[in-house]
Amino acid sequence: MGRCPTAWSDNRLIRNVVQYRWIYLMMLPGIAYFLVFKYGPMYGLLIAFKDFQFTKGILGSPSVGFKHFLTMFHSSSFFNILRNTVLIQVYKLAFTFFAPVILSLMLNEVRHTRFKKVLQTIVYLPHFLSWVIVGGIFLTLLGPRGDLNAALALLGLPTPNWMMEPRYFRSIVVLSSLWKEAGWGTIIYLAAMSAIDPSLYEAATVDGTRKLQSIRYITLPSLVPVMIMLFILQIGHLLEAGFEQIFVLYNPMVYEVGDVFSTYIYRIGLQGMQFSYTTAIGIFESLIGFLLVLGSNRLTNRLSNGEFGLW
Amino acid sequence: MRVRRSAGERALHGGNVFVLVLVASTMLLPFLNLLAVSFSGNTAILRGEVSFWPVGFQTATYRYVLNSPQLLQSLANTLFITVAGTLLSVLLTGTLAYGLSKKYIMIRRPALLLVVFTMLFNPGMIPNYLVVRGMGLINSRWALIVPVLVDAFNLLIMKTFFQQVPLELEESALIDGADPMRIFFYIVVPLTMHGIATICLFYAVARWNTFFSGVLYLNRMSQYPLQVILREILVAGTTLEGGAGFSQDALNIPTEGVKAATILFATAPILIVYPFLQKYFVKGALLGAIKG
Repeated sequence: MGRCPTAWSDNRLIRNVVQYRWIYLMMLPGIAYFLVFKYGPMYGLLIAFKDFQFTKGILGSPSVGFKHFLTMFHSSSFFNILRNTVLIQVYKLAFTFFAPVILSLMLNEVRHTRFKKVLQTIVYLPHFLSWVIVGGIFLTLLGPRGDLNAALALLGLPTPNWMMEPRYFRSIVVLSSLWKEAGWGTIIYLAAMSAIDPSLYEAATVDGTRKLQSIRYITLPSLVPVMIMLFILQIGHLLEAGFEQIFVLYNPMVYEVGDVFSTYIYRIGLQGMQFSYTTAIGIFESLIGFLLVLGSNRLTNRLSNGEFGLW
Repeated sequence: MRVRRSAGERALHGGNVFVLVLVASTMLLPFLNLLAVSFSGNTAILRGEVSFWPVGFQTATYRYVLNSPQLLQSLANTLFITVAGTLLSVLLTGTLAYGLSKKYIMIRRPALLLVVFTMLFNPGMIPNYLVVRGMGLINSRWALIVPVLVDAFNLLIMKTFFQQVPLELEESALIDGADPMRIFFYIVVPLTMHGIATICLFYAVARWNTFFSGVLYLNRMSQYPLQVILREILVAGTTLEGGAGFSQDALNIPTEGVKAATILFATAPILIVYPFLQKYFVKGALLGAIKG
């Protein structure tokens, strides 16, 4: 590996590039893409420490040090979006994380292969729909004169305007996430299950183990590594509530409970032209996410003696 | 759902199957409802009489929707983004993943690190916007394609597929004098069609569903992708413009019907293609997830 740029390693690298020039050439556009569109923005992070103006450019804009970060930590709206994002993500974790596990255990028990396939096809489907479509379906269902209220009216129950009530908003967000992604989430668990050695189950049957016990002692343990992996990744998204979902579902009546980092940065930063300030907020968001993944991976490694971490 | 009534199934796993069918219904029934609404008359919809079968059957709603220049324009935009975007994405993802799958490429590890780091740290909306703006892509349909050309996750899926191609195959072709690009396109690509189909589907769906970058980077209605127009109709409550001689009120076209029809219109391609590609993407998603 060209870890230190000595003349020797340089030569080796050059020889390697020459020998496999076609493959290097093939990789070039992809690497250029990553450098420009994934690492180019890292340079733009500088504006968080400046008062950015388009006319002056990134380097030409006046430096202001940590001004924007100080403003951020003294702003009540910052703590509001922090609270909203964390709450929404924690609720999502609590209410949607185990759904695919349960759903895949149930699907795994369906013996009729064709029927199982049909069920799988149906539950994977919502994953492929855009948030606009999913949001549209939820808005139709929960609108003031939507299907839910029509049913409630028939029963003589109150018919609130669901989308306008702050107290229902987060539940709607969690519910729509559950509807969209629970089915798709089963794919990975079903794969882990199909990798279980069938002789384990056969041995269990001979031992007279009941169905639920074989799920408890054979199936579930085989899912644990996958669950831990997904959990670590989810933790990394603690401050990253998806923009599209919230943007489609929310409205000014529920900003107070529904505004999250991405929607706030979009409204205040891009529409309100506060580029530098919202970049500072973005750095906070990304950095915490990054540290959370590193931290939870490290913790997992320590607790499992290096068995379950991502790396 | 015809298998649902199978007696043996019920006897064995009645409760389990019942709950599963219930879950699946919540995913299917909304579409049946939309289908019924899109074919129903205005009065029936307003009275709340439509559930899963059209009441006061008519096709005026669809004629109205399918004649809307606004919707057709956005469809054309989305088709362009989907086709051009998917082709370019698959090409760039494939070629980069191929190099990353080769142990003898010395920049393999640093390049992988470069890619994986972008999965863990995202600079955020504003810096991304500045790059797109700096490239002069604002108000260009390419802004919805170029900044999302390679997805790190799809890249890792493809890399896993390439790693499973037996090295001997490539080596023997190399000895026969074929150059590496020819080997890639004529030997490796056909052998990894499952993987390519998978990432094709993932890219195509993502481009078809392009929404946020449309809101972010485009300012002209005529360039908006389908999903942005859909949002205007479904969420913002904007009335869809009809074609010449079509006016929603004059023709008594139901607003809810138009919403339902546009949802189905935008979902139809996915609904149609999806079952055929399922066997591919299931395998692809597994490989990427477990081994990647």
